[in-house]
Amino acid sequence: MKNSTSRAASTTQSTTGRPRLARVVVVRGGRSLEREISLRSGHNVAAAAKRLGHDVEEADVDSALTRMLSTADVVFIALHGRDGEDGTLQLVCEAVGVPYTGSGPLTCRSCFDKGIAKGLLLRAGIPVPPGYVIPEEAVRHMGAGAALRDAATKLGYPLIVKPAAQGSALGLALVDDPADLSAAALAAFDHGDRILIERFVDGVDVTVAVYGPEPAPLPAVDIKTPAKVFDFETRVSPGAYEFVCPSKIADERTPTLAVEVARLMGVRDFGRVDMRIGEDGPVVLDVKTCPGLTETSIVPFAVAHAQLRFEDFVEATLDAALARQ
Amino acid sequence: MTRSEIRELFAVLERPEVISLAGGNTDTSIVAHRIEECVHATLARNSAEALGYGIGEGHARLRERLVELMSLEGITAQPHQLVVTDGAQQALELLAKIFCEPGDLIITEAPTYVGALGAFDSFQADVRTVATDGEGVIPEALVERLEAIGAEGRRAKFLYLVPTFQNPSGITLAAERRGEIISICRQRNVLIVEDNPYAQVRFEGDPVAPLRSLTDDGIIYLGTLSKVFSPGMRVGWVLAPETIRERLVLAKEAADLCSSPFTQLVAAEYLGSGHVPDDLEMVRKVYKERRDAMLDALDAYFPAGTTTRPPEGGLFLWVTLPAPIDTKAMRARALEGGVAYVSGTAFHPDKRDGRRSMRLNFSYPSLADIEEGMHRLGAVAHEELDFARSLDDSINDGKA
Repeated sequence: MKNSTSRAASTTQSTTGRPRLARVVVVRGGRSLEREISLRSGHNVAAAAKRLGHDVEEADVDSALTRMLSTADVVFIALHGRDGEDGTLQLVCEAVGVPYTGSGPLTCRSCFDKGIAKGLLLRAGIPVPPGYVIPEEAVRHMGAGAALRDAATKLGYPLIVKPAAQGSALGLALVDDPADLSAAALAAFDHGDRILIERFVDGVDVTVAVYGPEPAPLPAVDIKTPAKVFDFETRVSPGAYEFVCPSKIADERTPTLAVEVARLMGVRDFGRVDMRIGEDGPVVLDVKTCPGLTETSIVPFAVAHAQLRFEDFVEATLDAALARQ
Repeated sequence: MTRSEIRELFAVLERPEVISLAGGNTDTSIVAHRIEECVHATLARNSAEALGYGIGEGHARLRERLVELMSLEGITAQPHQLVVTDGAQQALELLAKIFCEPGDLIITEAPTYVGALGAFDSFQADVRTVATDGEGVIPEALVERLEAIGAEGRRAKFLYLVPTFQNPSGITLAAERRGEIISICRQRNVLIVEDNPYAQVRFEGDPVAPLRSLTDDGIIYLGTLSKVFSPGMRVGWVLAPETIRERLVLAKEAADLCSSPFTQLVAAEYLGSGHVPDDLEMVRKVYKERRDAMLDALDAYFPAGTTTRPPEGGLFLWVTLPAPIDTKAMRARALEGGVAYVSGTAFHPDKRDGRRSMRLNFSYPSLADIEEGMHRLGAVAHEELDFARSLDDSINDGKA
């Protein structure tokens, strides 16, 4: 593990030919309820980049952003959720012609919409929980609440209702009772115009961060929590969960599956594949192209367990972006 | 430890496109020029005193002024009975610290002040609630609650109340109930923590005497200058029975040695300046206009079935929306629409409660922002309600 990630870092360093010190613009913040997490991620990345000696500026989403991007040697995208994870900022960077960290716009778009991601993974034979996508417009104009109800009946309770395109598990609910379906769906629709309902898989959440231009796995991390699902409230409550690394649940197939998923979706530089391991083995719940990078997030935790410094991770990620210039 | 729902909002509120009806800030422009004068006067009077260490219970000059301020509400006290704190919030934290072991019982209203819930939660207190109506805590319900706790072989450490213009509901505990509540608690040996930040921000109706003005037995009184002067100065205080006061001083000294002598003396300077009555009058006038504007906008823009109880003072409107709206979920749609509020769930120990309600602040936003913010929020509420109904109808379509 340590060897593969170190190799990725050293290879990119030798090929970039970039100036020793780069002007790095770290984009963080944004317009969603994930803003605070993104600010913390961005700050953590910026601090590491400064320790590496780079000329670093942090930027937010506003009308001056594109102008600032054009001043950068490289853009580090630490913007979670809308704009940063849905391909928008990546499209802007490409049009401006500035290298940026992380996956390209198509991958971001496909991963950010959990319905599309599920379809792509399913087609490739990757295990995912069965589920259905319901668009808000269909409810408004086609009476598709009935389709939601029928889909729920087919899936069986308990089931998960969540926005199709939203991070940090905002708007996610575990529904045990058909009487609660409507309220859960409404809450999910508040976070986006398409929702996903899927079968609840009883098990343990295990996540594998991937890293490098050709994604290699970092050590798998178990998310230990008494909560049945790792929802937003649990995520933001200190002490409500614990990360365990090395994983006690994952086996040798888990990182292989994560890498297969990341490659299939086109993830590059870094990302995270969230899985749940139940009685029938792992299912893939989510693929994150811009996961949390705060001091308490999973990716830095896994980086540390790979015997890497966070600075190494940031430097290799910047190098990988610059190598694509 | 759970995290306040307001925390997620703080970061988003920095965004210029969002009108915030979420916070609890006051309009400090009313007193900003006074603070400047008081800072100069404080440093001119004795800069060494202002810039050095102080004592745990707070500067004597400020405590004297606070006693005078409380006397306007009929509270009799001596300066040596006070402990100055960094806002009343620190007083809540210190009280929880000295009274609560994990699992100890505290009784509150529901909804109640979110900062109190945070302080109690951080010491793992077991918070039970007592039923209220439009006149505050229902005495019979309090008796029932205390007896139920007694039947468990336990005793509540204290009853926490914001009796006047309660945050968030705006409700004032009726004068005729106050004596009864005191007597119920005294009979059962339960202390009352009376948190009284808003009473002086009354723009209508007759003042209601604080519980602490009715008796000094068994009442821990919390005051603050945050609402009448400036929240940024962080000046609060506790007026407590002597044995409790002593423990508070020790806890305070352990926490931070003393509140900033500089801000204490600036506050004392202000309280002694003679401007307080005029400034308070201005605060009341400005906030009343803003409350009225918010009530008008609520009538004009919100869906039928929306309810509120116009408060006679304070900083907040507590608004309940028609079913099946869930205000916590709707926050995301509201932010998308450029307006922020605090969902009712934040104010309940049981986060499943309060889902139809929201707290709206009228003291901080300008009249123009109130108009625009309420317009936006009303549109979001309409959209949410229409969609929720079409969702409900189609989910139930064809169901036996």
